[in-house]
Amino acid sequence: MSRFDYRSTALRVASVGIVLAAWEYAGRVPVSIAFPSLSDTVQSAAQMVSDGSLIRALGITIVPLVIGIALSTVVGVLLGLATGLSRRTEWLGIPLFLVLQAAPLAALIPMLVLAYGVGLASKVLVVCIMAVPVIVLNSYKAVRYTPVSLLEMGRSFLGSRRQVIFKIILPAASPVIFAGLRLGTAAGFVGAVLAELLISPTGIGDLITYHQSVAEYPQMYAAIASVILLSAVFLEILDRVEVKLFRPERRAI
Amino acid sequence: MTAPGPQSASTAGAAAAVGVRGVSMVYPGPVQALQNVDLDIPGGELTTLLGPSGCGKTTLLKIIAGLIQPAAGTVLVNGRPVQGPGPERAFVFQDFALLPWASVIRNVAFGLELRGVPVSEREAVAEKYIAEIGLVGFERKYPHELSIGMRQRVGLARALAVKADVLLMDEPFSAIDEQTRRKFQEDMLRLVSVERRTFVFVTHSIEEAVYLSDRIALLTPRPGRIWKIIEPRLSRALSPDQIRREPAYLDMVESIWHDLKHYVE
Repeated sequence: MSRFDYRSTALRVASVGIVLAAWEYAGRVPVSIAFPSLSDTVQSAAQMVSDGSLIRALGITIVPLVIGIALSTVVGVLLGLATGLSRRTEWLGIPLFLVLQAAPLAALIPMLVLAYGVGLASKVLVVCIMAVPVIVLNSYKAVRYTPVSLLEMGRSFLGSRRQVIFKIILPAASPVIFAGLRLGTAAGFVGAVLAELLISPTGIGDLITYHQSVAEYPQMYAAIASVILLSAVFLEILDRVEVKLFRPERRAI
Repeated sequence: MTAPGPQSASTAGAAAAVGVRGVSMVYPGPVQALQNVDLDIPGGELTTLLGPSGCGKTTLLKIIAGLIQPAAGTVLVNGRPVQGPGPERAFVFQDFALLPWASVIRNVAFGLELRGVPVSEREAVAEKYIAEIGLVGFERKYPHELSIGMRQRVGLARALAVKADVLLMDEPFSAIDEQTRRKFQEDMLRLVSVERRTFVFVTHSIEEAVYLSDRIALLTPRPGRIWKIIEPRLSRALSPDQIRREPAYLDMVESIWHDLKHYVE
């Protein structure tokens, strides 16, 4: 197992390395005057970290993001479980979320601004409408596709409905539920940045807009890269929470 | 309901018996899977349901387990009609149905866990059956770390651990490779004689049925009915290798094959 881990880590490092090298090369050619090289971007990022502007901006962006993702997780997983566990609630929610998942949700932003203004509430809602559908649909599918033989096993060994749900269905569904949470978190990040670009410029959205307007492209790319990095950190945390809570067989490896 | 203690284990099974009375099953389609099946399964023996694929033998087993409601007829276990799954029956699944996130010992103890037996007590019982099926040292492993054969041993130990009188086994060896299966079959024979429980075994392998069974219920193709009851009565004094070379064994395999042959395309 450890040799395999070692190799997959090496491959991951290699793949990131190739992308970064391509970035540096493209920036030096340059493919466009609006496309800075990696080294320029890193330099700007370092300077923005040291003058505090990048950290301050991330601190602002993260507020609607965390509130929105936390809300979406609770609401999305509960709705998904409710629809997955009962045929009666299935028809209620699922068609709506299938439509929402297919809809270009950014189109709803002007309507949200009309209803809730340009403040925090609107931004949280944008994160939620981006994140909730995929979380609901994944949780629903995860519950609905619990292996039949595990359900029969639970029944034949006299498990109550409650025991079957908590000891069999939920653990069996957790990998797909967490896959939904990862997709939902990624969509929530899209929502948070969209909200800052389209509703009112704050946080990272403000940095991106500002540096673009004054043609400071390395700074603009540093801001963009910082959101991507933050998103990767969020996904990694989610992965660890999953293994810690639900996947003892992966902890053992 | 209180779970039986470890001591009351193997004596209870001997008298258990299953009676199948006029059971029919129709699946939507409609497909008549079983038609008016009558069958007595004596306690303390291994009875095999044998028949061509699609004859409804697994359906019959799941009806006995209480996992499927028959369209007509009743099943009696120890004289009481089956309404659903019960503590006197335990099921061994064709695909093992192990919890991938649970260690071997938790899987083996899972039936007891569902009955609310305290951890220390159920793990003690589980340890005993893990030893019985030869998986000592694997208690903290997870199913994906075991071979296919070892996984089914875990499924078997889980069924044994709940102290049910009747063990219902749905093609338990069909996913297991030939060599492992032979070893497993030999262990099964030992288990049947040690445990003194009622085993109901579904298979489509004629050799396996003749080798293992006290009684074979031969089913007709769909709609499944009991065609004939065969009692191999091979001498258990012989070693497994001797049995497989016994003329009585070979003749019986041949005659069942002769019966089934014209149903196979």
